[in-house]
Amino acid sequence: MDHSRISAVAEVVDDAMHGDDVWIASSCAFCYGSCSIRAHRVDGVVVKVEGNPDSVVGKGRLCGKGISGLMTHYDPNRLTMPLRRTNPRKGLDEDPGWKEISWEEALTEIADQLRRVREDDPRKLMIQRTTTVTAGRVPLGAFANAFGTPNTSVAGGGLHCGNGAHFLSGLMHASWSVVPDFQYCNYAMFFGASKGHGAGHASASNMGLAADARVRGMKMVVVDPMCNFAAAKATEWVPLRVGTDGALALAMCDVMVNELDIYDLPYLQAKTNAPYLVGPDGLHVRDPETGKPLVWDERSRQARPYTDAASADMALFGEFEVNGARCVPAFEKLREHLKKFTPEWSERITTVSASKVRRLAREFAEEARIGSTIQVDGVTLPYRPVAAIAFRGAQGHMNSVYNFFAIDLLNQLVGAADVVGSCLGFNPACHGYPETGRLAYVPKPGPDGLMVTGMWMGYHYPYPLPEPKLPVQLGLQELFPLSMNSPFQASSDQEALWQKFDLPYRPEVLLNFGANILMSIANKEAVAESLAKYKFFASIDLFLTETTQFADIVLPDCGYLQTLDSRSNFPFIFSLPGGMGEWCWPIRQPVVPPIGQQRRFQDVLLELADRIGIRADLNAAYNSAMNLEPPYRLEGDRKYTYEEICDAELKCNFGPERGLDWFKKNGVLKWPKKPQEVYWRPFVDVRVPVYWEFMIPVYEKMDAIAAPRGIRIPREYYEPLPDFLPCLSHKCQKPGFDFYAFYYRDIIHTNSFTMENAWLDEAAQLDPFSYAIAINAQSARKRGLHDGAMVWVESESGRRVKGRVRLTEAIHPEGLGIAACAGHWAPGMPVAKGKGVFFNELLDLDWEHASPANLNLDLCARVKVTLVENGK
Amino acid sequence: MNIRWDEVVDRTEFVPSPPVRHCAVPRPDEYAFAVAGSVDVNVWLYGTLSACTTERPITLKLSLPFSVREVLAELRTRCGDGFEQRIVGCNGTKYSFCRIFVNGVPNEDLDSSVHVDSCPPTIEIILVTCTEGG
Repeated sequence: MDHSRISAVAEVVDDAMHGDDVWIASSCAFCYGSCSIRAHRVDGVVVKVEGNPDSVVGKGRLCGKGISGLMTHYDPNRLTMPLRRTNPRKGLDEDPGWKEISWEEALTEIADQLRRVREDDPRKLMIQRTTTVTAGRVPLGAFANAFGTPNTSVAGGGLHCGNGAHFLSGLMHASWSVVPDFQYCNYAMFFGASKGHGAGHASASNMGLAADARVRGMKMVVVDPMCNFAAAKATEWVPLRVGTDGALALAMCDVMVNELDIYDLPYLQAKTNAPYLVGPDGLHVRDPETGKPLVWDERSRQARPYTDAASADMALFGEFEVNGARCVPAFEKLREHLKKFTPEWSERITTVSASKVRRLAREFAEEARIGSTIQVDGVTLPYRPVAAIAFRGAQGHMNSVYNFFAIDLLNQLVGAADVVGSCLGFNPACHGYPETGRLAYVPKPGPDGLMVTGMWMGYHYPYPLPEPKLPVQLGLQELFPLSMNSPFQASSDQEALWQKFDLPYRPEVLLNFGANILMSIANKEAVAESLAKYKFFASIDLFLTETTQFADIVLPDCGYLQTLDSRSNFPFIFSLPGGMGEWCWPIRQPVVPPIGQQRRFQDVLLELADRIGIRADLNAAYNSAMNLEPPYRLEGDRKYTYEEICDAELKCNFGPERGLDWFKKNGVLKWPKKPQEVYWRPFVDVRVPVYWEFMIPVYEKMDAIAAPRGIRIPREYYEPLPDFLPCLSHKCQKPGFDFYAFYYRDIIHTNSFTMENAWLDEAAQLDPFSYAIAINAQSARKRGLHDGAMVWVESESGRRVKGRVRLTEAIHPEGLGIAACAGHWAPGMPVAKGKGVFFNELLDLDWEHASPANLNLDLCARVKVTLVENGK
Repeated sequence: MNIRWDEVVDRTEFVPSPPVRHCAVPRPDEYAFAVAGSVDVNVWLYGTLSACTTERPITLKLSLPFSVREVLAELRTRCGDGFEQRIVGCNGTKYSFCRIFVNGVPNEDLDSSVHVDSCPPTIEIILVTCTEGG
């Protein structure tokens, strides 16, 4: 391609901007944290991006990725023209033969394809988007809902992170993620999480909060195979074998309950289902009339529905006879269950010594200060200054669900859930914007009194679990109610699975927004095969990525400094910082105009909707997604611009005076949080499940659908209480395969996207680990490996990657850590090309490597490391 | 000493839900457009549901007062037996991914009477089946 046309920045400067010198408030999009920024524009050129001190989201702080944003914006390799593929063959080594075409030609062809599949079967359209650009969530989702396809994907960002972390955070904390209450927490345990250390939701905000907490004296214990960004700043690093976090947490729970006898009894009685009676079949014993679970009422000495007894009178221990059957409270069941997870058992699995497990459990339990209260802004609240949090590291495995369940049990046992100092969901309850009453939400009781989130990122709530069904989605998610994202949209065995479930259609058209699934999910060969099957593939992108190289039509997108988003940090459960402070609503607004023929993806989707005749459906989908109410609802098939849609949302939420113009000028709107919102749990009559009775009927229904079709779903993944289930890598017996390979988020990179940024690439080259393979120094020397040696890393199934090893003491002796999602090969990303190691090539992408519980892909691999000899 | 969780705070301090925007249902004879106690209801089906029928909007004649569940039952006769199964589960509750708006206001209670004021009521239904992640 000839990029010379965009080499001179001056060519794209709007005349109106000559002579200007302005700071413009907006939002970053270098990760999904969406920190608030302000961009300095001089003579129409962005010369600096920094954090916006007026906003709660970052409070003026911005990470190195955000600071570097202008380098991506002005990257001469940005796409600026629509392109058509001229080579019909699609493959990893095929040259697409790109030819520049007009927008009219591109949109006509895409609209023809969309119209054709919609008339045939709208489910044949697959829409995927990157998680990095949160501005894509509503427009792409609305388009899918208007079109009528349930088939959407958020690529590797969703599949690798979301299934375990978000389900559990929603079920237990009514939020997308959890974080320590940094302002009050005294003892935080991080299990494979980096909240507060440069990545993830509310990234820059949490960095500041975590730093302040450490200065205040918060003890921070990081459980992680590698001592990198979080552990390096911790009070204590606890290295463990990859993928065994759940075993460590279960052993800590056992010590707290069975050795120390420390737990928050009133919390368990009032706020969990611990008192619910469980019969011999594992199900709750229920009131015959109402169907409500029974508890044993110590006061009246009889079983009563949980709604009819005072929580203080509910028994947590003992055995009772109810209607002729022996039964025990769920907590009694849990206590017995935990006895098998002794610290000695855990040591064999995790390599963390039994004595250390006992010490950690004691420290955590004692620091919880069970029974204490504290005043915040004049309100007396429970005070539990401990938190155990987890994210991608702990949950990216076959045992994803149980790992997270076990870790959160630590919080639940001591009542450290959404109270002062404890494990907090990100903003699960909000009284709403005071002047309009809009944006109010709060968790509420659902079936059996268990908590239903007040706000979620979509409409598939974690609880109550949907009824398992014969799947009609490409990812088979209807059969797996604990899942969100699925590997089967691109897996090597997708056709065999679709046949087994009699899927009545096959995907034909793929619409991609910025996702690079060839790199972000697993090995590229499997994904390439799935991509090549589409009859038509249109990609809206900033660069010719590896995935976009498979497209038939490429549309040049605007970057985050050129686009508009009326809700860059909403829903508040996603990336608005938790804890006390202020509610804050920033927007993302254009700082500079498009370059060449770039167009905003939101405008492209509106145009496509008009061309295929679904504008009324799209307006309705926006009404639903933004909860627009009269008089701001979008009407009929009126052709609104995206500015008008954003304006409607802002005015609907904040009143007619605070529309898009107000936000463009003022940047953010803030109002104070109340203690009753942040520490909502004592105020809301909901319980959370420490005993997952619902898993029993769910499994039976799933099995009834799957077993007759030759699919065996292992029952052990669907028990009401957590267990440790090994990953495939833990079972490997092959000689020489003595390392557990894993990848970790590099602090200076976001997924595969930022590798093309020249400043970040330079920083990565200065970092000894960003583009290398981290390996324990002693383990390496035993195998004759020296620092800087070029090695092959080969998985059990024969997949292999090459890279240079870096010897370090800061990794578990069995661990092999690879940073980020590097190793690009596309010619359209020349800065990124050939840099770093493509870890995901080691990952198999099939049924066998997916969690039977939530479809999370197993993200570790047992590997053999050998020296590269003579370049081979 | 262990403080009772259910005694720590006064739970009335929390406002659990936004103010209800509906008014009381007026008597049938108050509707200028109602004929003999019945009313025309315009139903808009969007997205994948729009394929159920070529009629848009679908105009239903319902006796006053009526609920959304009665609207769904009437739609079944127009759109086939499978229609309701896409909206409600086997226990009769609406799927969370089905969004119903009555005169532009979200409706979660299928059994409450639909408020009707100065013009024929409009019911909008859309399935928002996309899953989320990240």
